[in-house]
Amino acid sequence: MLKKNIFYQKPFRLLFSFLLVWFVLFEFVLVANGILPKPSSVYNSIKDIWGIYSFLPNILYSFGAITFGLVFSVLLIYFFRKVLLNKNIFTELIFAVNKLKHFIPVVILSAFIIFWFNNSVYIEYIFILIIGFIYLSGEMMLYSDRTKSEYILAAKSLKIIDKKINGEIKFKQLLPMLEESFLKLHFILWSVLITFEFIQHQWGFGKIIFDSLKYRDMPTLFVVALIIYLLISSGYFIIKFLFNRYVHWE
Amino acid sequence: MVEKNKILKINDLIFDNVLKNFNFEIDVSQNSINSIICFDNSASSLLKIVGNAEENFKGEVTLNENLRAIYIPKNPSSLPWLSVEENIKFILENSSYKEAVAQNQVQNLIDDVGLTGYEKHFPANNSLGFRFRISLAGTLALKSSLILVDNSLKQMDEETKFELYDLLKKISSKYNVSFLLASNDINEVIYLSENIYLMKAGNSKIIDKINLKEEWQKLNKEGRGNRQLQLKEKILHLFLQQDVNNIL
Repeated sequence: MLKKNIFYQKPFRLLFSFLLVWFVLFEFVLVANGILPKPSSVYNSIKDIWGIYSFLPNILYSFGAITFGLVFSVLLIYFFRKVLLNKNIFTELIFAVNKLKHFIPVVILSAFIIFWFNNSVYIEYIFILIIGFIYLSGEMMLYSDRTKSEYILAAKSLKIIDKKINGEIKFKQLLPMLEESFLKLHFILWSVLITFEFIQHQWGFGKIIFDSLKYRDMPTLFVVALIIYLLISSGYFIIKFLFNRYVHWE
Repeated sequence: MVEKNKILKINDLIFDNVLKNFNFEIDVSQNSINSIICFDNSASSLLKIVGNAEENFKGEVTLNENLRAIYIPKNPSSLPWLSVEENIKFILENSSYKEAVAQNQVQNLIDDVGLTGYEKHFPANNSLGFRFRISLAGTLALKSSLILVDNSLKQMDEETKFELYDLLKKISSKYNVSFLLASNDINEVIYLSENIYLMKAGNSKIIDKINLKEEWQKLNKEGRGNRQLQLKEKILHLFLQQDVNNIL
């Protein structure tokens, strides 16, 4: 379903079409409106946006948090793969925590985290990492029942050591199944991140969005939306590329 | 001398409503191909147990000393993220079986299973014959003396099947290994085997055994094709007598 969606198939063409329509419509037809900014006013205010809102550091801060969260949650998954692929107290606990996402909105959770660690620079990174790790662990445990038995049967008969059966044969079978989960996680992390930064109001895209709403600054809001769209789309293609290049062996 | 030939002995095997106090003594002498034909999953379960792939059973499985039985599953089991060469090396490096071929003999194994030139190729999902050859090389790498093939040839096209039949015969004679096949293809087992064992889930022993070596020796003026048809009818008849009605 996700793969067939036009937004995922051709996001850059879609963006280009949108920008073209926006340019023609809002530059020449709907000049005075409260819906979207005029293209020339966006162009003129880019310099101000860059300076007043500290655009670059904030973008790097948010982008860094997402990259850190994704990369380190994968490393943690890899590091704990043998534990996660066997039923034990640790996996039961992660499974239970993972279920909480159905009952506790991330806004509430973010509010508490910010309340406890108000001035921490690193808490956002840690929060994103924890969410990424718990989400991927839950998905991995869910998919672990769908592994092909023939690989395990053959490995047992060949007396392959247990460490390799869990650490490589089971785990590598699961990797292609995790592509969809990883793409979803990427989007979820962006949503969580922006919500978190919006509430925290210290760094990142969330802070810029907060300020642009406060000052009713439509051009900034528009530019932020475009950049987030570009980053999410690029991330989507990078993940797809990495999975196609290194994971989809079948 | 007779005892030496009887390499596999099974006593009171109980497994998952399929095998109920099953007893079996199979005369698999070295360098032979034998088959179990059945139309349920009893032979498959038996092979898994003999090949140490299944642990949750009751009963006794005895193999003669120094004999190593390795199971090849029905579906492809070579690891798709490793190349042909890496698959064999993975087995050599990670198996707890001590006795195995040396790393520098991997190329010989690849040549013998007919994969020369494909050492660096990755097994694609749909090339069943290719993947079977890798699995076969893996079992030979661990110096298996009894290779248990669980209906692995079933889904292959006729041409690939016949190539692999010849390969099994060649490997059996070159490496002095025996094959025990589980199959539901009567033509296949008649073509390949020295002995055919007829099996049905729930029975405590095999339905019957047909010694094909003897059958072929009996051939006089009668053509092999005719005899093959008669044997097929005989096997079908024996199964029908046992109320087996899902014959393919």
